[in-house]
Amino acid sequence: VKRVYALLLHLFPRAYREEYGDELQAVFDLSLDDAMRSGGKEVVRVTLRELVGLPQAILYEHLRERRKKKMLKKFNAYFDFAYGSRREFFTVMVPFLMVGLILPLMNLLMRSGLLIPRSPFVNGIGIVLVAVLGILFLIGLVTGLPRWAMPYIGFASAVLGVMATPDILRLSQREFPLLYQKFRLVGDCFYANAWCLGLLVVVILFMVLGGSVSVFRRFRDDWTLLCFIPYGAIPMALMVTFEEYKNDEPFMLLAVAVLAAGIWFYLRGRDERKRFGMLFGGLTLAMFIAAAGKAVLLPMQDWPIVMSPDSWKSEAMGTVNTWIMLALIMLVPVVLNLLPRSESRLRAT
Amino acid sequence: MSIDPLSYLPLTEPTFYILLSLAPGKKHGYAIMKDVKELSGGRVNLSTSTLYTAIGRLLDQDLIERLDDDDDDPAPGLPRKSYALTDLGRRVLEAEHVRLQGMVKEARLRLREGGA
Repeated sequence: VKRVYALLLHLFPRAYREEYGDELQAVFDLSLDDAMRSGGKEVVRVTLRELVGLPQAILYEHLRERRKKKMLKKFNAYFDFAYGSRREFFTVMVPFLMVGLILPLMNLLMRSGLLIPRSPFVNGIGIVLVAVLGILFLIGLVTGLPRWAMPYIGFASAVLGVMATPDILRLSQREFPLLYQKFRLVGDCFYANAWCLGLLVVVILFMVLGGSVSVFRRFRDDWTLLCFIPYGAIPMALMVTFEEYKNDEPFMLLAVAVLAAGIWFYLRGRDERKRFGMLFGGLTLAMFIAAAGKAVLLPMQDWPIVMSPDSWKSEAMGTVNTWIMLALIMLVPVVLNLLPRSESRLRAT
Repeated sequence: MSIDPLSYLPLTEPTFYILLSLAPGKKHGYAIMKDVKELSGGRVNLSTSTLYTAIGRLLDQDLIERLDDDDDDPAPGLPRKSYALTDLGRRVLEAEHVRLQGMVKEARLRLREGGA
């Protein structure tokens, strides 16, 4: 009877069976063992009870499974935007608008005294912004990494990179002090942009997975998707660039407007090279605006250090370094795409 | 936003007994099954599959939670998962208790009036 029950369990939906199959079998076995101690009549009674309850439960679970699938499909369809649609554009724009519009606006309001820094209201807004970004990032993952989710991957990688960089810096200074002193200039330049490394790892990982895992195969078909990942890190790059600067809001806004134009034309474009050009152009122009902004704003800063007339050059160079790092990461998929391919790979594509 | 426990009422008899069975603490599926039979005086005799259908529904409604057994050496044959009431589940059970108490009180009054 136990074996027959085990066979009947195969009539449940697979997901349900995998989750509860062992438990159902264990409880049934225990019921039957108890019944056997009470005699043959009880065994027949328990077996009949189970056989009567089983078809109804199987039917119910199949219906529930179908309902769940339908709901998931509906959910996926809600975030499956038409290519180049406004909804797709605005969903991509969320992290850009947060960094380039909402945060500068909050800064302005705080400076004018309308908002109190670290007040429950300001903290609440911060929590809501982070939650919105987190939820959209998770939806992007759950719905199978649609095109709009690419910048979210880049943004998340950049945030993690920025958070981890000070620890890496401290660790390497401690472990390799001589090496650090010797190559201090290169090291400083590298460390200032070390947060981009996670981004590079993610892009390469997606490229590698594109060759083998079916879900990632479309990155091979449209390599510009991989360039769209580092594009999502630009808002973070702008934040890092303007860290400690006051009155940076107009430049931030302008840079994000340029980035928005890049996204709009990328999403609506058809030719791969032109679409890449839009992303690369957006990155370059936005970082140029940031570098120029720093040069303009530097004399207005009330920092407690003595600044030479050439200080703006080193400040602007920091932004140029960041641009170089992001541009290189964006170029990785392009370069690998231009490399000659083996015949089997050509057939596959 | 907290969910109103009254929106879950009235509970069906098996649901009420399953929740009541879990009120003292977590239990395995088989222990729930036996407890429900005992609590109902033998009237509610759930089959394994019916019990798990009800458990699945209660999990979906967040009235109970599924726990991994922390016991390293469980009794042989016992499932390695157990179930416990959530805070919401406890509030729903208490609300049902109040509802039933009110019904019983009213019934007692009316019956007494009728008998007098």
